[in-house]
Amino acid sequence: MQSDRLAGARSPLLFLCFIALLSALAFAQTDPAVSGQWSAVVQWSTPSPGWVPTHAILLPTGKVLYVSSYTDGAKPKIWNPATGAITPAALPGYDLFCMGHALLANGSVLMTGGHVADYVGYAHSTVYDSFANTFTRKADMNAGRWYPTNTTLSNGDVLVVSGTKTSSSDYNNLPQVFQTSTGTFRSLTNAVLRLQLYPFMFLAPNGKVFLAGWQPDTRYLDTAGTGLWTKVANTNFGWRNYGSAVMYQTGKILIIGGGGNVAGGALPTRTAEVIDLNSASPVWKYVASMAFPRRQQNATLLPDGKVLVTGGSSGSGFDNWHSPVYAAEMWDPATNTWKTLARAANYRGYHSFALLLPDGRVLTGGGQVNAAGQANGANIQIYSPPYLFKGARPTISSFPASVTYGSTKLIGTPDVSSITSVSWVRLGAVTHSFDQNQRFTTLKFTRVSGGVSVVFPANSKISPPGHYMLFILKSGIPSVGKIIRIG
Amino acid sequence: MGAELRFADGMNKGTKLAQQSLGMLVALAILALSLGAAAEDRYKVVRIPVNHGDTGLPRALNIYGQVVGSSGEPHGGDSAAFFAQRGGRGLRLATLAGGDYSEGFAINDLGDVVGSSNTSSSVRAVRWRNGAVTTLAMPPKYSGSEALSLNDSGTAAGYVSGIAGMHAAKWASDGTVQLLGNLERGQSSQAAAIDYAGDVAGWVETNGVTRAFLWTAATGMSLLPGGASSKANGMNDLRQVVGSCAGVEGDRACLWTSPATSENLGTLPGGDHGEAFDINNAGTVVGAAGTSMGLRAFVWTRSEGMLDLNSLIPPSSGIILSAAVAINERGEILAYGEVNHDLEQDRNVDMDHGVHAGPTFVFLLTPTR
Repeated sequence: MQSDRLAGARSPLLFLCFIALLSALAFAQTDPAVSGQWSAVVQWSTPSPGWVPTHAILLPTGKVLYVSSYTDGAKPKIWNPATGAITPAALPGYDLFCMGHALLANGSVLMTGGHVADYVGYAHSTVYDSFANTFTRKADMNAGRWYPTNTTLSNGDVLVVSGTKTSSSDYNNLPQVFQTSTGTFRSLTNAVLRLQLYPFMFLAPNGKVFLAGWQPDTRYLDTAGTGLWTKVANTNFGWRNYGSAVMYQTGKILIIGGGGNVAGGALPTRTAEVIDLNSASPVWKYVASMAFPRRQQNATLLPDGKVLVTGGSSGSGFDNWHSPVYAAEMWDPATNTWKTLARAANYRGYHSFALLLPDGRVLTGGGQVNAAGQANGANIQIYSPPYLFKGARPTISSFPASVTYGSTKLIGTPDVSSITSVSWVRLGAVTHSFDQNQRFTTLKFTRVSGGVSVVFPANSKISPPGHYMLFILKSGIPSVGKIIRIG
Repeated sequence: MGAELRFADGMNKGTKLAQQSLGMLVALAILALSLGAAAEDRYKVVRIPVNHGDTGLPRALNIYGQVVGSSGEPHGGDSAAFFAQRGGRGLRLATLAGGDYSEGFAINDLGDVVGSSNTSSSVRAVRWRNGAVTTLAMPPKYSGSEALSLNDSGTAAGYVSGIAGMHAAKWASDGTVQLLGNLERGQSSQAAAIDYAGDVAGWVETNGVTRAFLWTAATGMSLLPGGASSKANGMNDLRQVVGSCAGVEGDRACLWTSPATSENLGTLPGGDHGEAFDINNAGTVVGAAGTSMGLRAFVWTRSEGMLDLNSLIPPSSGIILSAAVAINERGEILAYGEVNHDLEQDRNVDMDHGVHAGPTFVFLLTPTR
């Protein structure tokens, strides 16, 4: 009887606890300080409603140059994050869809290849002047490239690899280096190798370029002379078709998701792996897995050193809109943990992008189809990470427009005593789930009167010449980034 | 009589006119229907099964309808060389140790196959014979290579690349390698096709500009005419070469019937791009050309010009052929494309979405007459 009475007394208590727990969980899901927050979906301008923004490049002006799919690729546009205004960019004279892109030391953008037809790439190269809004054609490459990757090297030149020439089985196996001084290409004839489309390439701390996948045999490419590939290590998972990859700290690379035999109907993976190129014998190691398997997702470096993953599909097939992953996830390298975040409104799969903005938000957009399998259209949605809801942001009151390697400079701030870290992130240039330009580096600093004294990277192998967003952080809360040039 | 006749004539005239008109209409309709039916039935289409998930990109076929290419993930993912034939099962060809990609580029009538396979540091030309893979010889100062064509005497053609540059090369059946040289210092070159006599067609490249060439043992390498830039992809045993020529309007499928004459084969309606990939000894050319709906496979003959191959197969097949890559002496055409294309969908979504990125399949087209 007593136990029955106790049980009777407990039941309302348990019920109340259960309700409280549910409320807490619901609040956690909606509390932007925990899960972040998505903006409303905003329509972007595009000449053809069906075509989607596919390439997004953050310019040193703080504006975003975007290029849409198919024939709209010949009509790039500029989006101003501060006002939301969209204006036409200069005309490149050909279709840039499916190009490669990387920022040069002076803030211009080298664009290689483009879209003649599916799998048929232009051999063209052009340089977009971010400040003057002009395109200037440079020398043609050895042949067409449709889906190439551009990687800025330590001397400011740009490595261009892969892409198809005239058909889906006609790969451009010859790596080339764009020489900024002459506007011409140097062919790495000692390094012909078949690569995937849009390979994951990163400038490594040793000055070589690291191929991180998605093919499992990862390699270094020494771009000196006529080039030379050397094997580094095999990934553990194997082929990560249409996964993503980031260099989340100098020499440390994370590869995420993708994989599966698309034609055979296998699901993508939720696994992730890292490699540390600073080690004498680098090997790939599994880290914690995402909550969701994903293919066609984007990975974006955040100012606090975490990696944001957005979009993608968890279903079988190349671009399975029936299985969209709406929830964002964030990986913390310090704790090797993933955290599930707020849900986006739209499916962002093949032909989608995500790009860190100077204000710390992440611009997402594109995706060829929506969750109904119909044209997604030219819409975007901006994600505000939890750090934007955790209190007042530190502010930068003064900063140099440019710095030299190894220099120490004062970054003015009224929040000196609360600054806990300083980082910078190279301006992004993203397409097809891979950002060919972003890289993250923690910067050493000391607190001084009127600001923080920041030590900038010692050499251009750590931070290749060009423009970066500098952030000062207060217990993980970043300032608005200031764009600074190095080199 | 006369009145009757006149009346009759009048009636007859009207009736005859009506009858003639009707007859003509019927005849035209029958003709149109028969022509339409004939056009749609010009080729029988058979899907060739390939290994590795059934998405494939074919490169070549021989007289027996045996096919080689690469198969695997669509759109640049995990893929490897395959061999397949009508009614059989696709076979994955062996790759070199440490390699992650391979591709079969050519097969001769003896069933020998050549192509390339990655190693850890370069791509290497290989030959497959009786299921075994061997690398082709590499001259000093070169590290990479690909064999892109093969004739029935076993001579392969392609290129070698290394610290000395990238140069067109031939490999004799006994394995010896021969550099075909360049026209100018610093040029790159590749051999893309070889005929029965060992003549070679390909292209040289200087500062991003490619020019088609013809190489013979007697004359060496000489440029073929045709536009600001050009490229040779295929040739028959009559030294007729096909490829592409660039004009002011863009790339067009191109035919060289002699070393001095280039011929623009045009493009398909609505397209601004064309490229020919192969030609047989009958002079029939195949390739791919742009249309308002994306790339489409074409066949070209002297008598009929360029025709969309999709108009020559039954519309009920549910297939869109994106490119025709090879033709043999029986007139059989090797093509790739996609299946179950939904033309009812939003055009902006569906237009070439599958071919742009999704699985592609291998088809053998056999003439019905």
